[in-house]
Amino acid sequence: MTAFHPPAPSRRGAPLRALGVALIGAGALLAADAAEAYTVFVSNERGNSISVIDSETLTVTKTAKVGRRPRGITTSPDGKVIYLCASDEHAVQVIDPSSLKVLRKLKSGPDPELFALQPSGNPLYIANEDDNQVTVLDVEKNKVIAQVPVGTEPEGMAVSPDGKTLVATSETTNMAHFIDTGTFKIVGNVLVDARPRFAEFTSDGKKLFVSAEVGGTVSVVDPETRKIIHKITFKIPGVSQETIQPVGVRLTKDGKTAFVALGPANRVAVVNAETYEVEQYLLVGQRVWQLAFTPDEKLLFTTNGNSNDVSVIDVPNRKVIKSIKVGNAPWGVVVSPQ
Amino acid sequence: MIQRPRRGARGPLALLIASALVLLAGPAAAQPQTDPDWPCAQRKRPDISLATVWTGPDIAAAGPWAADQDAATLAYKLASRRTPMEEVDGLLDGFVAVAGPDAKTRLVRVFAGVYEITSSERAQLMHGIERYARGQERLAARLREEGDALSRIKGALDTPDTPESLALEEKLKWDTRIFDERARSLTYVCETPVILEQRVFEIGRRITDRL
Repeated sequence: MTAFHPPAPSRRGAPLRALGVALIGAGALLAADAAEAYTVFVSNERGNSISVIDSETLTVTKTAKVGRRPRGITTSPDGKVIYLCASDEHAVQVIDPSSLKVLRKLKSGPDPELFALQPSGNPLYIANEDDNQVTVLDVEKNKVIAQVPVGTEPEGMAVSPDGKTLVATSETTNMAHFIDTGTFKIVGNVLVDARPRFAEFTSDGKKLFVSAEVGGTVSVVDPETRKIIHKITFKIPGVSQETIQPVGVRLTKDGKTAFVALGPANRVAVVNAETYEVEQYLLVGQRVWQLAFTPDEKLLFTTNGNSNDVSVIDVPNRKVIKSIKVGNAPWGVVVSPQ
Repeated sequence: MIQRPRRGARGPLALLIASALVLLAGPAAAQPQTDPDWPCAQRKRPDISLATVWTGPDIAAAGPWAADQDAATLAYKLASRRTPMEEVDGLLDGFVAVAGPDAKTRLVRVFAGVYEITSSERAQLMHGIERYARGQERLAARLREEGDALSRIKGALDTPDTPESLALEEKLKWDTRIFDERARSLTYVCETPVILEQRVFEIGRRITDRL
């Protein structure tokens, strides 16, 4: 069960919500295997909106208009704010997770696509797709701390669990750039397959998974030596190789399982993250790109940009249990930490 | 995506030439290691892989769809974008109601038809997109020649205009405008194969629901 958090004074209705959470928690105690209720936020790239899903009822509870072309979405570690890349507004919007109101706009640099937050919650590292740089932004002061030039069309961003290394992938240069978060200098590069879209560290920081959309692979990199340890490949009967386009990658906290979104193959691969064997392909919606676990890792949500829905995967049973219609062209997804 | 330069341009002439060059560089830079004739940001996929849109029973085992007249008629109707998606459920239910004991096999045939009709429509579209891209390439080459010719006549900004330079400048402006407009519609053009895939996927899902 989630620890009880005193309601924040700024949020109206929070005590009631907290009571709800407590009741749900009590229910969870009775039904030993029931999942906790979390809130899932989905950015709809063409709908210019975010959809909010309740992880218990698996229904859309709210939809709110946000800035134009929303893509990358994440939350602060305490869950009090949502950060959203409003790409066509050239800004990162700070959104209240309860009211869904845009609280502030941050200086993101041009065309922000995806970002990563320092584990402490500040700063935010933003990939500026059109400007070949990474913007380092102090989210409290709304001040740009540094701009790091990287390869062409940066997109995937990941911070090592110790917060010391930032990885940015560049889609056209086909590299994962390792950036020291103390000096904001590139300290190393790893060449991966064509169009790397996403990077994800294991929770112990010992491995880095980088997906290559056009290359059709996921490279597993040793961040210490910056060498590729293994390249995961995918084969699905009845699906042409060019249709298999890996994008989003999520790893379970124990580092044993990786889930890889395969784009227009309409499948999520379940990979043994120790042997690198693909154990299963789960059919989800069309053009699956991004993934997010609930904090208890019981559910995984996928954004399916062409079928305009979110698929819900039961993680322990490795089964797709539901498809939920959201806005137009869902892109990013994040689950509240509480 | 193809874009106008944001900085570095000095005056209309430089802007025209620079934009012609940037327009040329755009699609090539966005598409590493793929078909040079393919202008879209999406990776080229020559066909719709059956397994991406269908997880139901083997469509070959259901027998030739075109030989089942009712199934074929329904397949054409469903595959047509003129049939609104809201009507799909009603059409399928209507078919099942009169399809007899082998309704499920016949439903699989309906899907086989929708898949084949949509696939061939998509293949034509893909050729069309490539033709479009080659046309743009020719226009880009012409823009470059016109830009070069204009630079030769009117080397510096303070060179006085002549009737010839004005005519050339006008032509370059028009060609750039045509190029720009076509480049803008490219986003839409590139999305048409996806629109077909969305339809066949959704119809597949609804047919599977009835099996």
